[in-house]
Amino acid sequence: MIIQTQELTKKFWRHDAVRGLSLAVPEGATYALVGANGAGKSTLMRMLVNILAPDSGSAQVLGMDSRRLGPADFQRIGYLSENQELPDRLSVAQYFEYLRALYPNWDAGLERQLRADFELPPTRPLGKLSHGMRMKAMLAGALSFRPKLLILDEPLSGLDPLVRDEVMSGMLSQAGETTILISSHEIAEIEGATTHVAFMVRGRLLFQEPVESLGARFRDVTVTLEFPVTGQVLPSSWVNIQREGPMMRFTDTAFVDEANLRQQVEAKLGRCHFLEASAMSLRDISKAAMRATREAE
Amino acid sequence: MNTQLKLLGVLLRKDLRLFWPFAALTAGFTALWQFPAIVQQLGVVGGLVQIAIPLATIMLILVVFHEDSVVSVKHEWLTRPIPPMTMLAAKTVFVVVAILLPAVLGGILNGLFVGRPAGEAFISGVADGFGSGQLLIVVSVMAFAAMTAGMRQAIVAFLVGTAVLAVAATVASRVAGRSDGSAVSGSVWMIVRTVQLLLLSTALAVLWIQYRRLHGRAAWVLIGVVAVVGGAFLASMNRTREFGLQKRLSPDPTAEASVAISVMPGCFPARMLEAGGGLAAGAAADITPEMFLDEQRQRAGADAIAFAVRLVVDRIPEGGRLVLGRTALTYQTADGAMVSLGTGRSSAQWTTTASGLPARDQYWLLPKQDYQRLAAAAVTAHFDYSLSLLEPKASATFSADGQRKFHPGIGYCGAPFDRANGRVDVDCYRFGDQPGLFVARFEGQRDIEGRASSFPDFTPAALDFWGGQRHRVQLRATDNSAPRVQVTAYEGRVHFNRQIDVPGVLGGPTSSCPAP
Repeated sequence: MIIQTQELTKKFWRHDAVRGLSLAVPEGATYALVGANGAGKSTLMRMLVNILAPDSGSAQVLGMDSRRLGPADFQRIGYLSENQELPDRLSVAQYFEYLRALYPNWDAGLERQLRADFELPPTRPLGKLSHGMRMKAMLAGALSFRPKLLILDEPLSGLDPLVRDEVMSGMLSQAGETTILISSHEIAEIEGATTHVAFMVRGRLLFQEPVESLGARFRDVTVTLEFPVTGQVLPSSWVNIQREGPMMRFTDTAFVDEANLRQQVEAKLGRCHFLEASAMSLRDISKAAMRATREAE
Repeated sequence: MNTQLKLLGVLLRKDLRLFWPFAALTAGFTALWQFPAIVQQLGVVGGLVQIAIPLATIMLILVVFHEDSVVSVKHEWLTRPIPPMTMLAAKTVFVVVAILLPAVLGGILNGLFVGRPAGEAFISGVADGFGSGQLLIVVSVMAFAAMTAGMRQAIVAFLVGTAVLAVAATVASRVAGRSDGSAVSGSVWMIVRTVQLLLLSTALAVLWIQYRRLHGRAAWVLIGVVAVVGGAFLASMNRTREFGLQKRLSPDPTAEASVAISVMPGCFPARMLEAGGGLAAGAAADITPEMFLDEQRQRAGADAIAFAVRLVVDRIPEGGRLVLGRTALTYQTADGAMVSLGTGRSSAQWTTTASGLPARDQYWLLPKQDYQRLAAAAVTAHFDYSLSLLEPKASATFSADGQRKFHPGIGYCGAPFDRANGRVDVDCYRFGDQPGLFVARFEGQRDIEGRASSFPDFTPAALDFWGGQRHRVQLRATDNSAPRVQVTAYEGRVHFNRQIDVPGVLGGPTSSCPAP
């Protein structure tokens, strides 16, 4: 694993920003960390890059305790955050000249290519760039030294669709060679680009798994029963249950196949006339998971 | 090492690119300020520059440090391959280049401009521009900048800190009841140097903690502990304790035996204080209301008795000088009751008795009720003198022709003779440890002399190693021929207390020494 955390916890006064979080990011993954604003994603990422120290638990990054990450390790780790402070009065060209001198493994060719692709104006000060341009400059700066691990904290937030696509394609050009951990409060932004996904709610990790298996086990289920049924104890894997007469709708979080599901439904609720299990998008999965958590709490 | 130096260069170049206009302006003003003759000619602009320099210096340090804040969680350098100590080194070099170096260069150039020898111009330029006071301020601001993430936070922290310090200083001064007593006895350095050392060591420790990136609130805790411990120490230091410590630091305690003092026998000259605060006419015409503070006169009340006591130095080693510090007067009755009159006011100069002995007058105010109570009982006046015996460590004699030369043990000296105004301005510059007292006089004339400062300063040499001081004395010439000047650097040899008891209230029994 490139990143592995165990029971990581961080408090700010009485507020639990991250609570007992255990995360595992495999090498080569493009790992999406999804959660609403305030879920603790940024705090988790800051702990991973040793900007913040955890109160308890531990985090291994590139096989090293995150608290011991030093300057030499940042030759292999790129970090980018939407609200990062940059040397705003430097021009784009001066900024890259500055960065180039910091990394012995800087790839000047890749820098040239990214700057050209992103159409970054060389003489304009960083502080005068639009939000999108700024993010592109930061991403080019984070990619050009070919890091082994790239941690991106809400890199797509507030970007217009065109710029978002440019940033995504720039990022994905390194996928595979670089392990990417990317956070977003909006899963739709990164859907299709990720290999793994994890959901965070109020400092806790709801679940994490490869996108493929996640898509396979989540189903939006609609059933029509012979009679309306109430008061039955239903499987815990069924969440967000809605009933209307003999009709019932829920999310199955442990879907295997339709025959198995029908068997389960009939065993619990009696004969069913109609059953439909539709595949869900990552966005719908995340919404369902969050709603279920809110209901459970 | 080469990599670190290269990195330092990269960071320095980045900061210079970002802040060169501000840095150039600050450097220019700082260098200009080293030319007092030019600044004086600028009038109001010069005054504004004087205000602008410290502000610009502080602002420049803050913006340079905040540019790559070490406490922020948002600054990108924290996740770049930059060792924090290299970042601190780069910031320090920037401060040296933009603030300290211009002051040094300006100081050297001004020294040459006003005609000082190259050696003096260089040494005074370096010592003044890079002196301990300057360094202390710069390092403290650097530490402050390293604890705050941005300008707004720094301003809030500064205002809160200033308010807390003001309250603490007020409380401490009330608890300690401090006045100018420590300055008189030359022990004020204990407070000054303690504060300086505490500030410097705390600032350096804070920088180390912050740039070691020791997470948490270690630096704030350290500052809190230092503030409490330092504040308690300062509040506990009164003039008696200070002088007690100074006595222990006496280089030659046995020398105390070589000094003999006495109180001039006979009734003390005395006058009555009138209701309006003035003194009633009387025999002791040399006692004037100005010898006492308004506060003292008000406290003593109407009809208080103002009296003078003359301390006579009966014996002192050849060439030595006696510095009279604080003198406390307490009356004690036979049954043990005490009346304390506190510290007496001293005359400005030593005088000579009819028999040629050095003498110094001191003045007290005795409230009327206290006098009546004491006069009715058998009473003894108990004087407690704090004294320092000084010996000459180095001396130099030269013509008052304006030529500046180096004199071993004294430093660079010159004394131009201003014939039009009939005065000689003695000016000596010394690097490193400073004399306890610096005195200048015309050669062969003991009675015309001047001191570079009103009070001595017995700072130990170990605490006085970095920096320099200019000693200036003005001597009034008696004739129009260019005189020769002798300057002497005195050092403290022994600090001691001497108690003298005098029977009666005003120098004898009430029957023979009555109230005026």
